[in-house]
Order: sequence, then structure tokens, then C-alpha cells
Amino acid sequence: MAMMMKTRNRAVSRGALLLALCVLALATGCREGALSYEYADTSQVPTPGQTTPDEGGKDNNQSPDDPLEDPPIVIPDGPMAGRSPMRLLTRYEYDNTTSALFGFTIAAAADFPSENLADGFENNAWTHNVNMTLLRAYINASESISARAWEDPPAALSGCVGNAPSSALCQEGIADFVTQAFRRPAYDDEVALYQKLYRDMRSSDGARAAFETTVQAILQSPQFLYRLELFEPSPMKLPPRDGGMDAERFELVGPYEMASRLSYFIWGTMPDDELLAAAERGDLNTPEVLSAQVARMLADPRAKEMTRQFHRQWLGLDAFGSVVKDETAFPVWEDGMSQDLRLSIEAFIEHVYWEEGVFDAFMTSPAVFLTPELAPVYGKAVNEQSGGLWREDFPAEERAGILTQPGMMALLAYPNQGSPIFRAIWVRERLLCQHMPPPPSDIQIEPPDPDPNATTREVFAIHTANEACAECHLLIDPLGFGFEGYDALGRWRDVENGKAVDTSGELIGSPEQAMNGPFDGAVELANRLADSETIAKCISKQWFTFAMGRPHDTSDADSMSRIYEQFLQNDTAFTALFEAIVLSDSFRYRKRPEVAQAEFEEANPDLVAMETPAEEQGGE
Amino acid sequence: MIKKRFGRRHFLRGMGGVAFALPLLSTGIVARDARAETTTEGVTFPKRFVFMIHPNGVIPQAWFPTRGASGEDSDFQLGETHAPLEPLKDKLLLLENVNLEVGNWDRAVGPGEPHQKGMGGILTGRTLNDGQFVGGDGSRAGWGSGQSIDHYLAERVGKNTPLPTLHVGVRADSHIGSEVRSRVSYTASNQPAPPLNDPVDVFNLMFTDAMTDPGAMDEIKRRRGSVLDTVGSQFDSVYKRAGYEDRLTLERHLKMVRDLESRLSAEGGGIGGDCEKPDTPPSLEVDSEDTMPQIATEHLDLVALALACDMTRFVTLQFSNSKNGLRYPWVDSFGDGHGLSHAGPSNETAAKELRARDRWHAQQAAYLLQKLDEIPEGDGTLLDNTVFVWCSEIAVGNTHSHRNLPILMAGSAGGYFKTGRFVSYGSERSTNDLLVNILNAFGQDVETYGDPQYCNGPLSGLT
Repeated sequence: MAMMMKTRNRAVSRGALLLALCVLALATGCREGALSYEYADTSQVPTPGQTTPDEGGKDNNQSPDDPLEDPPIVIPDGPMAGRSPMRLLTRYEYDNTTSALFGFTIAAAADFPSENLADGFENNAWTHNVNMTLLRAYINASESISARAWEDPPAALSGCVGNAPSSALCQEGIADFVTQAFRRPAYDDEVALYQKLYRDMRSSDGARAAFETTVQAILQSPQFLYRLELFEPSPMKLPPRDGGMDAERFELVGPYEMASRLSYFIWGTMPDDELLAAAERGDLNTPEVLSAQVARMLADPRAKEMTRQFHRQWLGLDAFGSVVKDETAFPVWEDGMSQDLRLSIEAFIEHVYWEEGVFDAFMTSPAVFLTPELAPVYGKAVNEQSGGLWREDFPAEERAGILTQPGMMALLAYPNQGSPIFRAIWVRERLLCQHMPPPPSDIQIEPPDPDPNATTREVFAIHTANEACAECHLLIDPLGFGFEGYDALGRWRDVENGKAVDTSGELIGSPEQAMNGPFDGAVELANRLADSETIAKCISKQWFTFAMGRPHDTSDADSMSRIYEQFLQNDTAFTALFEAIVLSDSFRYRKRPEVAQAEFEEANPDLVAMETPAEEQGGE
Repeated sequence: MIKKRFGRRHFLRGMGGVAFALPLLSTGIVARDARAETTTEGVTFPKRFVFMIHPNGVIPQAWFPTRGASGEDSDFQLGETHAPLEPLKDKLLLLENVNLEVGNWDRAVGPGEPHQKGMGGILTGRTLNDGQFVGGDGSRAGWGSGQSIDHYLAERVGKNTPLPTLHVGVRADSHIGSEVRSRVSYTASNQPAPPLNDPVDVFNLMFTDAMTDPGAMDEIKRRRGSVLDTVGSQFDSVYKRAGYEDRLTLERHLKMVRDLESRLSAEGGGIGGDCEKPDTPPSLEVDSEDTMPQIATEHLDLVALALACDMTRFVTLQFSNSKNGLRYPWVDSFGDGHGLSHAGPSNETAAKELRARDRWHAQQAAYLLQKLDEIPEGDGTLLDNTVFVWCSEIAVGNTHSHRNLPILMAGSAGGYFKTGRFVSYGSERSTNDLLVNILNAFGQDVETYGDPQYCNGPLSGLT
């Protein structure tokens, strides 16, 4: 009885989901060309002076039959830099920063509400923002940290604690500490506000309260919580390179701001002493110095944290916390294995990025990292000497890269069966940077009532038998079917319910014709895509998004092409990708304040009318 | 139910059976907006709005009541789903033929797929922004594009409560984290308010201080006030050196800092306030099917306490999210929630599991509403001064329709709503209309809310 019910659930979960999706996609007029993709490379971006092309790069929200509705954009000559909005520290950035600042670790941000996501990333400048719950959490965190700091003060504030600390000495220390906390020299008026708080609290409540409240105020101030690039001319001046940046419109990002861009990108924390010293000297302005810093930082173990955090977000690894598997269908499964699978993926990433170091390994490495609990699930003996996590190289026919990692297959699945849909959409969205067109506006709904006893394949057949359904589903189903060789736990299988598994699939609609076509099994797909430009470009784009805290836009087109070129020319070494991002114009330059202001005013006349008079512009 | 006069202390059973005392509600604490309060014998009680949502629709045959022979609105039998609410029947108000018009996906209405639209549109009354969240069918949408009514009300009513709003989640972020399918409450367009999934976090939000000594509390409040004052000045300092785009961000943050400051310094307010703090909830695995029922109970206890102590007037309670990859093993439902909801009407196995889940949700509602109904306020109870709304982001999982959204209300908001009825609308109405009713109940003289093209004014026949 239980088995029968389970079979019905299989049909319910998989088949009904697909039928419902089919209903949603009826008469959608999907066709291969309707997939849009977001990587802006030079072949898509118009040459200077031209308007946007009318092929490729179609707006995602347009029906395939409509012409572009947006007015043509004229792209100015030469390279450009995009926006650099202020960025709220994410949870792990907050914890890393407070650890570095105070010299002790209180993981206070574990209690913060989770960040709002944008394309899976937590650090989007506009999407990750404050709310009332977070503000209260900041209060709590700052109070815990300040209490601990009284016992264990950072060097700059050591003059503030103890039995009878000197108020004058403490206030000097506050000035130093604020500069560290702000990651830049503080202005006198900024420091003065904290010093006043200290003095007032000292006389009303005593030395300890004065110290703690001052620390709390620093930790809740915008200059601490945000990476804010001040609206003042950058002191780093370089003549533009030939044919390069338009010096009338763009300038180098300021030295301390560059230090923060580097440290938060590569280490997820505030700049270290060496970066701050370089900033003070005004050194972070040439490609040579930047390359040297990048190399130094990548050699530091904190850089591994960067790749771990990136992949946690990009691959959605937090969802492992929600994964359960049906113990009746999979008696071998135990609670806690999803956490092991997460470690397995993290170890794979670390191996591919830091030991193999190239994109090809990401796509084709047969390495799978196992724990003593996982080993028997995937048919391997426990390695007693391993210290809990070790590498196994699986047969090349069974495993190739990220596409076939057991953890990913288990994540992209239901409790009791795999999901071709989840897997296909993941490949499209995350690896190919493609997304589906929306259903059209004239759908008629016929509520589906699938036979609960139908097998999955019978249900699938209804999709492709119906012409209207088939058009869209050809973009998903055949791609997902190629993964049928991996069950809900990500185990390799060649039989299912006594029958040979059919792993034939097809990729259509990718931007490279050479990548399209039938394939048999995800391993073949992985090897084919390893030679693909599309995924390599998509990965460049994802890293750019992560590094910049925003997706790329048309003004980053030149930077994106150069980044990608560097990646390719260095045999897709990841270190080359990271360096290329740092050396790109988008990372190093920004619009000059007066240009940004003029453009903003032009675009937002109503807002400007409300602004206070513009005697506030630039620094002191 | 013995009605107690104002002036005595009343007790609620809290976590682990520990009794805690309710505050003496003095007129100094409650808001001065007479229309958002109920006054009995010169004593004023605030009105509250509580919103509960569970994902992926219901089994309509089990949800909707059956009418009696007389055809009167008050003559009906509760659907099987709502059996746990039978004792409160005369305080319930069920609706029929109210559509989530800003979702209505069989007519093109904004970006996104039905789940995204439902979550982002139910309390905002608006279609979604464009954006990059990928829905179940590959559609893309952004966040909700307007302020939800809980925040609208919080800006106008009960401005001295320590928490403007309280958002509680039971596995609300499972599988997908914070995105449009897991948020219903918005401070503004693109500004979602996150639910707290861990009862310990909710507890800490409500009771951040170990002190119950009023003198110590005053000291804390004063110091916090000084800190926030300095922080506010830093905003001013940075503002003049920031770019125009950044100024908008700074302003938004500063506004919240000021709001926080004023609530913390409010007379009789402040975190903790006059409420005796109960024991800390147990620290449980938060995203787990093993602890889900227990966590739900902890949350419901805290919500009741927050309302009784006037820590907030506006609560959202969210079960799961619209991706809903959850099993409910304690009601013998082992299928994936979303997959089950897609089953057609012939699939009796799936229907049975879904009915069991719906029934469990009703038990949660009953637990909370019963608790609220045990707290005397004047001649009535806290529940009488509340309007509670429970619905889902789509009507039926199989069709994804937004027509005839399942809506159950409870509480009369201080006698504003005439409860104990099943009201059916002859021509289709919009959930935006219901939002207007709720605002009107709080004394807000509005005739429309959200996008006016999906709003026809308040629903008739509810008062």
C-alpha cells in the first residue's frame, strides 16, 4: 500500500507539476530564438556611435513577435564605468569586519534577518537594505560587542577602559578608532560627534557607559554599516590612457574606496594594514600595483572564503538546510546527510578553484568529496585516514564537473524523486545565464486533471504531443531528461524500476550553435559545455555581479569583454578572471561627481526640486 | 467566560506553561486615535490587524461553508477544514467571490507567475515590479511595488508601540531565502519586511533586556536614545558628502532610525515595557519538519503576548512560502507541498494530504484566536478588538487561479465588522476592496488602496 501511494505521489509531484507548467505556458509561442541571455559581449554591444542592434539582447518582457519598444540608445565612444551605489555590509561582511576591527569574534550577524536576494546574490546594492528588524538587531549586536570590548579593547581604545581612564586620551583614541571603523580618514565633524557623546555620557553615566555608548554609536553609523563612496573628487589622478577613459566624465575611484573594493571582493572584510598603507600613499592607482595586491590577496587563505561565499549564493547552497529525503524510498538516507552534501560541494569548489584553478575542471572534474556518512551512499569505502572529508575520483563516464555533483543533483530534486525541471532551469539560469520568455497575455486555462496512475513519461508525452505546450517545453524537458542518470540523492543509476534509464537529452536555444543538439547523459553535456563560451562568459558575468554588488549594464560592456578576453587568454584560470575584474574600468573608475550629479538632475527633475540648496558638494 | 473589569492583572499561559502578567493598559500607553480604539467605560483598547497566510491554495470543497436552508448569511455550516474553529464561529466572517485581482493571471496583469503575484500583491494591492526573481514557470518578476496595509497602518496608528509591526514566519525562507515568493509585507515598493523564523529571535526582538527593574529600563532607554541621536547626526554629516542616489538610501535609513528613536523613548513604551518577560523559548532547529509544529506554537504564544502587551498592533504570520517544498509528516503528508497542490481533482491521495494540511493550518488559527479571545478587554476580548485575516496566495493549487480567493476573517475590530456570517458576492470583488474595509475599520478614511484600477471601494455588507 505504501509503495502504491508512493507511486502516485511520483506522478503527482513530477507529472502534475509539469502539466501545471504546461498550462501556464500554453500558446506561449516559445521558439528557440525567444530565450534571452544577458551577457553583453562586444558582438552584441553596438560599436560607438551606433544604436542598439535589433537582434539578440531582446528585452525579456517582450513577446517574441514585438519589435523592441525601448527607444534606441546611443552609446558614447570609448570605455565607460557604471554606477557605484553605497552598499550595506552583508551578514558575513559585518561579522568579518567587526572581528578585524575589535580583534575578537562575536558572530552577531547570525541573528540578523537574511538579506534580500538579487539573482541569488545577497550583496546587491539596491536590494540588500535595512528594515526595522535589522535596525533592532544592529542595536543588540552593538551592545554585545561594546560590552565585550570593555573587557578586551582594541588597541586604539585601550585608553578608554580600566579604573580611571583619561577622558582626553580616550577621545584621541576615538579619533583613531573611527578612522579604522570607517575604513578611511574621518572628517573632524564626524569624530567630534562621537567625542561629544563620550563626554556627555562620561559626566552623566561614567566611563564605562561612555565607552560602550560611543562604540555602539560607531557600529550603528552609516559610515560603518555601508561601503559608501563619497561624492567628492578622487585624489587619485592619472591621465587617461590613449583612447581610453574620457577624463572629462570619469575618474579613478578614491584610494580608500579602492582598498575597500579589493578587500570586500577578495576577502569579504575590511582592508588590512597593508592595503590601508597603500591607500594612504595613493598607490592603488596603477595596474601593476593592483595586480600585485590581487596576487597577494589571492594567496591568503581568506580568499578561499570568497569562493565559498560566492558559490553558496550562486548555487543556492543554503537550500541544503531545507532538504529532506524520503526514508522509505531511500533507507540509506539519514538526517545530517544534506549537511554533508553541502560540505561536499564546498570542497569540490575549493578543489576546482584553488587546486585545479581552471574553468575546465569546474565543468569536467570527476572528483567528488565524501564524508564517512556519504561514502556508502555513493558506493565508496570509508577512508579512515581522511579526517572526515576526502576526495574520490569517480569514473569519467559517471561524473563530470558541477553538473553531476551528487550534492547538486540532490538539491535539484524532490524528497522522493529527481526533478528534470529544476535541473534544466538551473542549467539555463545559473550556468547559461538564459531565461525563459514570460507566458503570453492571452492564455485560456483548462484545469489539468492528470491520471494519478500515469507514469512520468506518459505525462511528459502529453507535453510534447500538444504543439502549444511543446514549443516552450522543448527548451526545458529534453535538457532536464539528460540528468535522469542521477536519482534524488544524486546517485548514479542505469536502471529505474527495473527498466534501463533513458538519459537521452537535447540542448536547443543556446547562443552557440556548436553547443546545441542531442546528447546522451549529463557527462556528455558537461564535456560539450566545457568548450562553450557561453558558460565561461556567464561565470564571468556572475563574478562581476558579485564583485560589484550589481548586475552589469550597458556601460560595463567594454569591461565585460576585456574581462572575458583575459579569462580566455589565460586558459580560463580563475585567478586571471579575478585579476581581470579588478583591472577592469568598471572596477577602477567611476563617473566624476559633477557629471553624475548633472545626469541625475536631468533624469529626476522632481527630486532635485526638493533638494536643499547645493552648497553641499564635495568634501572639505 | 467571566469578564474581568479593567484594573485587575490577567494572566496568560506562556511558553512551558509559565504564566505571565499582562500590562495594565493605561490611556498613556495607547494611541490617541479614538477611531483606532475601542472605548468602554472610559478605558481605551487599541484595535489590531493580524494577517495569516499559507501557500498554494486550498481544497475548496473543504474550505468553503455550506449555506443553510434559510439563505441568511448567518445560517451556514463551517467547511471541514475549519472544524477547529467551530467554537469561535460567531466571531468568524467568511467571504466568497473575492478575487486577487492584481494577480488574476488568466488576464495579463503585470510581471510574474501566479505565486509571485499572489505573495507580492495580497497586502499591497498592486502588481509586481519588474525584476530578476525566477518563478516556477520561468517567469521573472521583482518585488512588490507598494506599501502593504500593515505598514500603512503602523505609520498612522499606534505610533508609540515599541514595534511598528511584527512579522513572524514558520519556515518562511525554506529553499529560496528572501525573494518575492517568500514575502508578503512591504514598507514600500522594493522594501520587503522579513519575517523572523526563529522564536528566539522574535523573543529577543520583544524583550532585549534582562532587566525588569523600571529604573534600569529608563537608563537603557536614555542611553539608547543618546546613541541613536548621535547616529542620526552622523547621517546628516554623511548626507552632505554623498551622491544624489546615495542620499535616497540614507534618507530611507534615517527615517527608520528616527522612528525607532521615537518608539524607544515613548512614555510607557520601550522594549519590555510593562510586560513581564516569560522564559526564553527553546533553541530549536528552525528550518526543519521535525520542529515545525512546535515552532508554530512558540510563535503563536509570542504573537498573543505582543498584542496583549501592546508591543505592536500589526502582525503578519507566514507559513512556508509559495515554493513550499515542505513535507508535513505529523499529519502523514509526505509529499512535496507544491507538487501535491498541483494534483488534479481526481487525485484523492493528494487531496487527502492537502486537506490534512489545511486542517492543521486551521488548528493554528484556532489556537491563536482562542488565546486572543481569552484576554478580556472591557466588555469583550482582545479578539473582539482585532481583525484577523487568513488566506492563501492562490485559490487552488491545481489551476493557480486567483478567483474566489479563500478568505477567513475573525474578530470584529471593536464591533466594526458584523461577524458570524458567510458573505458571498454576486459580482466579483477584489481583495483590494477588503484592504479598504480594514483601513476603514481603523478609522482611515480611504476609498481605495493599492492600484485603483483593481479596487472598487470597500466591500459591502461586512459592517
